[in-house]
Amino acid sequence: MREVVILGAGLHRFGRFPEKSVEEMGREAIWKALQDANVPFRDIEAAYCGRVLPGAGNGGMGVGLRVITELGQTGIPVINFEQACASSSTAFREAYLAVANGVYDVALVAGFEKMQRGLIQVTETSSYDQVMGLAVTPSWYAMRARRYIHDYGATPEMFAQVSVVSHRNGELNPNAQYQKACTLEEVMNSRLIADPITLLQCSPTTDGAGAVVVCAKEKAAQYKSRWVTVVAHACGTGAYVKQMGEDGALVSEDPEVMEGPLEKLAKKAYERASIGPEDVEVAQVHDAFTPGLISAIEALSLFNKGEGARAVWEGKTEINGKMPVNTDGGLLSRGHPIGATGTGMIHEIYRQLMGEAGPRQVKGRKGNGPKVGMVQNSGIGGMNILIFKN
Amino acid sequence: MQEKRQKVAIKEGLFKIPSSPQEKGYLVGVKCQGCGEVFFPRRSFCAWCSSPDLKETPLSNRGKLFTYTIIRQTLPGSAMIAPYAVGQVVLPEGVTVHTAIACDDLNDLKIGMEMDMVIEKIKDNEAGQEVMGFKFKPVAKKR
Repeated sequence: MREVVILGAGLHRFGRFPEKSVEEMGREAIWKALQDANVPFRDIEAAYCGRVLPGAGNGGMGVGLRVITELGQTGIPVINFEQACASSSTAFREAYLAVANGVYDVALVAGFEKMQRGLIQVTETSSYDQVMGLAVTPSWYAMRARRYIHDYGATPEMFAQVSVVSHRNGELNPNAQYQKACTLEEVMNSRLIADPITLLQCSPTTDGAGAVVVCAKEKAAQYKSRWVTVVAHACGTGAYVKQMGEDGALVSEDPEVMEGPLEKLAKKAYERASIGPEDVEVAQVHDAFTPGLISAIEALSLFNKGEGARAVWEGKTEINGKMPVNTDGGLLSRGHPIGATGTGMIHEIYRQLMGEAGPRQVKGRKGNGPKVGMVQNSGIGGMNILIFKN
Repeated sequence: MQEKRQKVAIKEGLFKIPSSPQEKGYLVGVKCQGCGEVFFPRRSFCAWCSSPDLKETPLSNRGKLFTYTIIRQTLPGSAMIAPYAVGQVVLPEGVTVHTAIACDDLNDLKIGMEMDMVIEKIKDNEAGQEVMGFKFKPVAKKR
């Protein structure tokens, strides 16, 4: 396999843009990424696109082609990925694999989405889950949080603090949906959605787009002199944990309620990158709801099991903390345009590793900028972990 | 005498509705004939060994509350009016059931408490039948 680098990245600001089409937003992000990468569109050999929700201004089928062809009709393959919240990190992984395996030298990754306000409906209104009131996404995270509080003696305020830190970072990000800090009191006093999660602990619905140009390292020098190298990926879905032992007795009285095999995937990614969690200097994780950030930083071994909530409370995940997380505001403040979120995360890690994150720039362990960054993007459709080095 | 109204399950095959007051209803699980793992709700292949040989098995009516939350917003089309509780109940068969919770005082709920399965009327349908669903409720305290 060949080494693969990111040559450039671009975003259309995340937020609400009722006057703009998904095509316009996608093209803006891609154009910025191409300029940043110094790559002419004609050199792009394939485009990998993430998008989830039809309607709401996203238009009909084959959205990737509509976004891409306006930039040039060069006959390249344009492939759409629907992996729920993990769509564009999956698109990135597929582009990375194609370039690493020598199929293409230069490929484009893009994610774009326009969303409606309110809770995302995950099943049909007549379904059993919906009628019984079970199909409420924040409630799944809330149940996890309540169990965490029970097991580790954390407090609801510690979960709320995740949102305080995210919004403080979002205030420094001109591409964030919410560029306004909020206090712990504001988060705690916002409307209760599912105990202990309040409204300001839920990611918003968002319009936005992101794009990344990937290139074989051996070809990169013809475009630019600096880049970020992709050093590992791991992709997977939830694995069933056998409950019944050989003797017919339960293996454990308390079932594993994790979203999926994140720990296993993280281990695989660290092995592939030949590094450990102690080497990671900045991370972007999937905080669709505040408990998501806590379980992610523990699953990635950035903090020990049961210590994540306290670490956030003590400021360890802040930009100047020991292990900065979601420096761009995360899903909570930067926003969560489902199909674009993965490229949004990759964009931020790219900026951080290039030393281009402005007021959000992480200093890194040696004080001269971070060398290793990590992305974790999860959804109903699967999960991706990516590790990058500059 | 009032005619007895027909009861139908909210989803077929999910649980057995008692046909007389003497009978007890139960959740219908499936047991893998290959590796012994039990699942609820039913599935076509074993999640562990992928065997298609799964046989129906009645599940225990009593389990333990693993975790829960109180939902403050009513979903469109839902029969559950906010605030209401949902949770995960672990049964002795190693099955975790994602369930609505029946509880008069939501403050009484505690992780680890024993819960019993109950079959209740959820709503009426257009055909005039009673649509039944299952919930779990805390085991009544002994006096």
